[in-house]
Amino acid sequence: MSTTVSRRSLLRGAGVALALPWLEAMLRPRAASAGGTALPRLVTFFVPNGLPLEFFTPSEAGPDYATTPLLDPLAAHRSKLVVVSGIQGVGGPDSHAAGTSAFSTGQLCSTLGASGPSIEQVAAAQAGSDTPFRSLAVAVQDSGQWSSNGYSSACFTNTAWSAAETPIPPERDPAAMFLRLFGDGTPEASLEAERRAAYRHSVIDHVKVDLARLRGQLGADDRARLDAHLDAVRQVELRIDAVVSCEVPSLPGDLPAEIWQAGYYRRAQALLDLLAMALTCGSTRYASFMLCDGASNGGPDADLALAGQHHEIAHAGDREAMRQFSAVHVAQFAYLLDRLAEASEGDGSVLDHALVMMGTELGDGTGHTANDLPFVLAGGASGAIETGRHVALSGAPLAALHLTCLQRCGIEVDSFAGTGETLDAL
Amino acid sequence: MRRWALTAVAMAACYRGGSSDESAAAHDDTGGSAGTGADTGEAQGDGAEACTADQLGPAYLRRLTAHEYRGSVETLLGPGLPDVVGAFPDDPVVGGFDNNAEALVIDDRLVERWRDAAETLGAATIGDPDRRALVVGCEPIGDDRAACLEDFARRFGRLAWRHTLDDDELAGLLAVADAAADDDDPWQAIALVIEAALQSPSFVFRVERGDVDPDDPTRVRLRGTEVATRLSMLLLGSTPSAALLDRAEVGELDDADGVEAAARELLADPRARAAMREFYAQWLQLPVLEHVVRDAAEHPQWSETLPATMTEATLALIDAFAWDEAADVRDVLTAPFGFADAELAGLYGVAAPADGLAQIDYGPDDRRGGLLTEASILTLTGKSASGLPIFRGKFLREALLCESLPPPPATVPAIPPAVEGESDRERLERHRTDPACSGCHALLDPAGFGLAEYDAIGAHRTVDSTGAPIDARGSLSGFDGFEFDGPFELAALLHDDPAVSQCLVRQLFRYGAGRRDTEADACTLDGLHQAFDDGGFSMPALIVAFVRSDAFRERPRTEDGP
Repeated sequence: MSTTVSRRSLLRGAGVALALPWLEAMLRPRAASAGGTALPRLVTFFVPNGLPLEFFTPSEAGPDYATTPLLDPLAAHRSKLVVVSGIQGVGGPDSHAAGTSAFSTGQLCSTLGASGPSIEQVAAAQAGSDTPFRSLAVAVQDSGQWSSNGYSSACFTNTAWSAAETPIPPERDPAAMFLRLFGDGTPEASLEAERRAAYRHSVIDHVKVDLARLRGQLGADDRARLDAHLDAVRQVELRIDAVVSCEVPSLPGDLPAEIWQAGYYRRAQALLDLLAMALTCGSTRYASFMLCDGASNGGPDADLALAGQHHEIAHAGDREAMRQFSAVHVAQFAYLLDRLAEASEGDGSVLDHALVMMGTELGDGTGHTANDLPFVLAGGASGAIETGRHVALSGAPLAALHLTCLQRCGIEVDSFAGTGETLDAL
Repeated sequence: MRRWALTAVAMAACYRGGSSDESAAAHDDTGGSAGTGADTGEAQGDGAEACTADQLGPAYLRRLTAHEYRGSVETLLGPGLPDVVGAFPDDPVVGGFDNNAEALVIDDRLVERWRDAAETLGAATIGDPDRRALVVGCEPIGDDRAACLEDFARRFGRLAWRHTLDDDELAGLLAVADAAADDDDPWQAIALVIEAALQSPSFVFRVERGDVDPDDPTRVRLRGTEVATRLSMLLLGSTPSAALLDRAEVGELDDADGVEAAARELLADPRARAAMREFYAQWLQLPVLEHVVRDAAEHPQWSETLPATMTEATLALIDAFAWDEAADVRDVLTAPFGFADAELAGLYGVAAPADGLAQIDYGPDDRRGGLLTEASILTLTGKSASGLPIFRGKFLREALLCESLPPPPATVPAIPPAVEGESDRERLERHRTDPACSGCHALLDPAGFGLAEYDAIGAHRTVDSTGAPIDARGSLSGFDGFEFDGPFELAALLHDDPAVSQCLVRQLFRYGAGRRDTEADACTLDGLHQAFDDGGFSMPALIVAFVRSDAFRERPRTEDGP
């Protein structure tokens, strides 16, 4: 029996008030791996300001490493992780813009943005069109859009780049994200929904005709902009009739106001719930998540006993305060892994059929260097990566890590960010 | 001009302290000149000097910003609409401005939000009898239906797309309306016309077809309606009115005098104040204030409402100088008055006004007056209590002098912690003895010292964060003899320096053109500054010169374009 149901009929039970977190209800995913052919999911998870490495990097390489304070929050998933140390980042002026951009693209930022696409977007462009969303870009922090030191604001607030200088601005609002993924509660079979879908098709047909007409009237640069518009319109068009294939809870009516007041990390977890839901349900296979902006100066949190402002703390070299911030950040990564691990799929979990890459823009935050970048790879990409160990590298290039991740996720690429090198140790 | 050259020398020396080669690749800090990397460090300032050939910089297809979208739908559908723009993805900010055409990308989420916005606006229009009567003006019912739909599509499409529709365009909109032929609600067809028009590339892009200039085949002359669009978007933040399109379509905007006449009328429109505030606020980085966090324990006078008040007060100060033909806008730097409400007056330590935000005339003991002493500027540059001069020097150099400071090098050595008995100033001076730091910080710190008597939220202070007395002597290296003591001497020097007025010209150009300036714009910028100078540095004179310029009314012809 298929569990596939239309996106709107799921929401008939609207009005069921759910307490956060939303995903206590068991998800019933489409049997994505039933056919055994679905590619592993690829997700990036960004945390800011480097890590205090003495609290992160295990002393021993291999499977028997002793845990560390910043790996403790991930203890439940130890067998599903590869801790990677010693990656050489791409150093450049303004270490935050450079590092945030390079985190997922392996390249520096320019005035207008990163100099190449991010890994999950390379995957999405090649293999993302069989899901309703090619990819999702999600972030939590709203610290304002501001260009700094000659860089676009996007160099600090985006990790998703569909191409050079082409950011995909992240979604930050859980309620908007819920509606986008799962609809507005109008029953799919209703006359209203059918009529709305027909109207949308009619309007999109019109937009496409207009784009074609304008295309013949403008020069090459402008045509490229119209083509980007057309590509986006086509994605939206396909989604008009898309279905969501697992049961999802309805959106509690008072959620939007509540979640914006619930505190930073509660909102982060609401967004992570939705991201996990989207990945589990087959809404998308590729995603990026920014817990904070690059150079985040995220502030105190009474509930979590965080004091001070993160970026200032990193600069000042207060190691213990840095550990406290980073421990909270790693715990959010653990939260996502928890959600993916508890969703069963095929012979394992959704996490088993994913590769989730956690990293940051700097090595050690105090020196603001791009040396010794810390990473955690979770999930093993359907067995393509041997997990449960610490891979200690010494200056292996960041883009080689990226290329390895892409290839292990079944993406056919020979080079990334100008390198053809991969990491044999993985 | 001489000062530009001196500054360029100073900039080139910024990284001489022995940093790595890659650090020397100075990015254009203000997002000014196109191109990145080492070239821009040298190119900065050249805009004023390199006028050798009468050229036009590039013109890009501009996507509507959130601000332009909001203003346009208000013109199209009337005030009081639901806020649909708040849900749009962020427009990236480049060089301080959120309207850089190259940075305004489109993705599928934006297309969905445009769709949601159009559906919301369509429903809000047909669901409100008053608005419906105002916007539609006929009833799509019975025998009148076809005529009403056609009339509405023609009028609404013209306003939304900023030109009179041709037959194909009209037929396209009516075909969408036809999809609602069987809808129970006869008004649904109207909603669909609105939805289709607002999602069309003809609305979301500012399309400029133009016609080849008969006098210069390398140029394309914008059509009258396209000039009207540039005018209205810049000065009113909105699609042009039907009346302005009428004038454009009978040729009234085909020459500079006609454009000037229209511009002067738009500047008199009450909406122009709000639209131009968008420029001033972004130029001065005021949107940053909304996200400033300050520790209430450290700053008991800080409150959640202060940032908005600070912004409003600074914009009121600018308004006091930016609209009068006889006013020298540079006087905003030296004004002996400002604006405050009771809370801000408390921060300033001056008597509170009777009601709301009002003008405050400062006395000599108030230590207040002019843009640089505005709490807004002092707060947004007040990132760290002991490093205030750095960020303030950076603001002066970037926003007011349009200098391209290179970003911090790849490895930032922390400012050394204070040692016992050392003042903030002495600590920074010690930091500058490190040759790796001194190159850039010699440009930054001494410039910022002039504002040392204000704390991180703009309150006046007599001692620094270590308790040492304030020493506000400073200098702007690269600027011959540019030494000052305190904010008022600093402001007086900036007031008369051509680098400041040239920078304002460049900032207005970047905002107005929606792109970074290039070497090809050098003569345009020169001409604008000359007109600005001739006009007594009044903003109306500068704006009028800009809209009269070839750069505003023409674009280069692209080889591959039709």
